[in-house]
Amino acid sequence: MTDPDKLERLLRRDARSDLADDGFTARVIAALPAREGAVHHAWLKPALVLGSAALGSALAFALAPAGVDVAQGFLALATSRALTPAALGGLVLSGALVVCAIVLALDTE
Amino acid sequence: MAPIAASTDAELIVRTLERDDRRAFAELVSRHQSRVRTVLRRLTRGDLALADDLAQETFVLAWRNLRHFRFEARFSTWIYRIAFNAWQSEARKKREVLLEIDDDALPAGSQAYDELPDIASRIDLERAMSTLSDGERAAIIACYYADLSHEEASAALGMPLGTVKTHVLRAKAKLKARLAPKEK
Repeated sequence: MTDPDKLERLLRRDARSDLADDGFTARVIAALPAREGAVHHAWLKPALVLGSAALGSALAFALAPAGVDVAQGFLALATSRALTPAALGGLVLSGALVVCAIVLALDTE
Repeated sequence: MAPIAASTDAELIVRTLERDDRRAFAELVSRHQSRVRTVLRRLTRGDLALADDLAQETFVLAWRNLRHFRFEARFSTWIYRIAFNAWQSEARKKREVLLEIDDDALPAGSQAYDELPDIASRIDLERAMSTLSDGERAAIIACYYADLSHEEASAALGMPLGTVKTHVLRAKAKLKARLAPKEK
């Protein structure tokens, strides 16, 4: 071979050769599995995560043994009268829970 | 929204993901099946049945992993990577992949392809390709059939960049020698 470009031309021409489909696409489509977590159900995961977080927070608030103190702490916090340790702890925990829920809800993997 | 046939690959991917639209994915398969099957036919040394099985596996894997496609590369580049991985996995299973082994013993020469009709020159090329080592064949197919850059081929094949370049050079030299006119 004297022309070095001829080999490249032949390779590229061979690469562009058009293979008839012959039912290949149909066979692939028939073999596709059901998609897990298809995007049209994408709302489900964030809704479950955020809903669980909200429900958990509500239950924790309602059933906590020191519920009165926490409630009073939040009330004091809301009215800017005092930042009690209970209110601060509850605030930090709630914040962490919400951040975790948001991160999980946004995670599409 | 544009009709499926007029959509770009990226639009088809989005449509597939957002609507779980198998017709959109079918269009992607239809567009790329020829090149992917050709690549795999060359990689499998002309084993058409195995090549088509691997091509089907490639597109099914693409379907499963489509949400990981980042749109930074062409869809074709991404699908070729999957195809190369499928071929390498299959070859490893059969203990046939010997990427570092050279095959310098070329079979007897063939006719010059310059004067031959297209189909004959392709047959000659196919025969010549089958005499390359797995590594050389994979490298030249990645660069010329899958149209990957040397860097992309290196990533797709899991070979060092220098090895890809060496394989391509040696493969081209062997192909030229194999396809050269017989001299008396």
